[in-house]
Amino acid sequence: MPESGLPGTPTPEWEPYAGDLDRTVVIRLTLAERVQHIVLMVSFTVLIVTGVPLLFPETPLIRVFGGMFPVRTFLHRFAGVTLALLAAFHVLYVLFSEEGRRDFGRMAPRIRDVTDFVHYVKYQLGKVSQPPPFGKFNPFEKIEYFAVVWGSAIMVATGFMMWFFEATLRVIPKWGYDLVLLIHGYEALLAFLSIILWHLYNVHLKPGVFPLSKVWINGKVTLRDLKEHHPREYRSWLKRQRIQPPGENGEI
Amino acid sequence: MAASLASDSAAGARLYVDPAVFTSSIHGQMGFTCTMCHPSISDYPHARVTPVDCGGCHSAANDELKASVHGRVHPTAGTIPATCADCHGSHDIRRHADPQSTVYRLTQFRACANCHSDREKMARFGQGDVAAVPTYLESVHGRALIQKGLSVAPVCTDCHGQPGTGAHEIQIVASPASPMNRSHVTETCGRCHEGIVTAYNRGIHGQRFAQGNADVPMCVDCHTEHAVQPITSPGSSVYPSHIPGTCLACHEREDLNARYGLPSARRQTYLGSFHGIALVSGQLTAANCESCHGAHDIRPPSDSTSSIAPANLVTTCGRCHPGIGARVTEGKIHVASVREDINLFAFGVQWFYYLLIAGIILFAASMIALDQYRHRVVDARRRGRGHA
Repeated sequence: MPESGLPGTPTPEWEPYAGDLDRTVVIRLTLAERVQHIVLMVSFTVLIVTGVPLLFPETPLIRVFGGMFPVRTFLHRFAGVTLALLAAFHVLYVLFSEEGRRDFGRMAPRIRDVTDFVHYVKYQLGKVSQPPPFGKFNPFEKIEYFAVVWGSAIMVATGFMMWFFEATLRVIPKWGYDLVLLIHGYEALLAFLSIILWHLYNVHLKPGVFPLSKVWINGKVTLRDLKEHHPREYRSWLKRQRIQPPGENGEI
Repeated sequence: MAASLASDSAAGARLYVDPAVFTSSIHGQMGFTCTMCHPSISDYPHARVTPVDCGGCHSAANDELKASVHGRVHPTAGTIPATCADCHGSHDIRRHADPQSTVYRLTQFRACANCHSDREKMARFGQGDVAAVPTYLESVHGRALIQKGLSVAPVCTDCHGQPGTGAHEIQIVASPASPMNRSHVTETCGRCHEGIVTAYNRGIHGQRFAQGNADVPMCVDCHTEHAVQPITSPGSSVYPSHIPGTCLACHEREDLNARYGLPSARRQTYLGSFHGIALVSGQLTAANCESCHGAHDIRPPSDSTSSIAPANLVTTCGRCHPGIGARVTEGKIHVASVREDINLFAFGVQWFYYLLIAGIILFAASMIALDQYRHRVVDARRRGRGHA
């Protein structure tokens, strides 16, 4: 796709030297975001390990807890509360921190995501030579983020209803409670399979990333990574660095 | 046996009667002479010795024995299975209340085990089970007797003998005259466990049992016979983790469920529930069948006094879950089918997730395949073109 296909961002005609692309690092995830990701990762893993076996009764999987079933229940609830607190913190982060507000803005779905996706498929098939002009978050990352937001909301809400089912059954009928159990189970399976298949492929197994992307630890990407995988964000970054195309202000 | 004594001179030792043993026996204490039991002996050398006829004095016991399985000639073996001496001894006979008696309460099992743990002897009378006595000794009854020294613990003859006359009238269990025959088991157990049997008789099992129903369980169907254990014993058939298996032995049988119009899929609906999962995972406090349905006094939900009648459900659930909402009654407790046991809406939710999960897997798989294709095929082609 030609450069003109990037509405809203100026096309820099000046770029850093190739050597600088590898030397320069850009912060992709702030410390607060990395900490949130680690808390999410740990609580999610504990929730999956202590929860998913319950979806397969009468299989050997259910025996993994040995005689420690009450410990399992405690861990599941502890991790659930952790996830709920994380979600609350994330809402505050998005609302009140500058980086949070900015990144959430970049997360917002746009029509451009559809055209970017079409471009991506064409690029993957070799129909176009220019990589898709993704912003800081590509359409897949946006879907994943909102899936986590939506999934966490459902899991936390249904989870608390199950924890305090005595009170829940004062409000909703037993058949409604059965629906809550159903949703909690299937949503968990959905989240588990999505992470196993999609997220772990992208951050571990994908060629160029293998064996592990370190962005979740140090939050850093090189300017080259940014240019190749997030071209729109790259240009926006150049602009923020006040690197202007020559001639625009007369001289540089 | 006695008949062979004189002729069997090689076994001289068998002719010897220890005077000390005989004088300490009940007959010796009473001053019996030898010829009172061996009347055919009058001179020396002795004439052929006739069998001792205990019935000459003990006529009632003798009649009882003759009517019992032990005193009747066995159709294939051709002899009677047990004589007086087999249980009571011969020259050393003591009163049954004497602790040294072979039939004394606390040690009586040994007299029974002489034959009933002997595979050869039992085989002669067409019996294969030689485990009854050792199994009994490991049971709550046997341990009460041996380890706790409880004289009220039941011994063999308490359950197998007739009440009152005891051991002499023992019948095979298949005989309607046996107290261990299916028709008499509840009253026999009830001689000690009276309150339990009263509760059982109130329950649906007991009511049907009283009508002569051959399908309903009675005491030994759930508790086992000789092996009976307390509910606190992990080996018990009614230990919390074993209760589902014990109940399901009947309630998972399609023929019985169909015959009595009982709901099916009890195994699946219980073991798939949080209660079942927790119990299987070793949390013994999790509700098992008995927790909600009761043990002896089980009643159908249509009975207003049943613990699972809709009106009583909040109380029953509330025993473990205080303050549980009353709307627990609006729906099924055992959920087998999302479509029928919850509703069509739930069925829709289930299919929504089926499609969503299938869609996500399909989408992720195709995106991964596309990525691999680009890296392996498209990139290689691009590089090739670059070199050319």
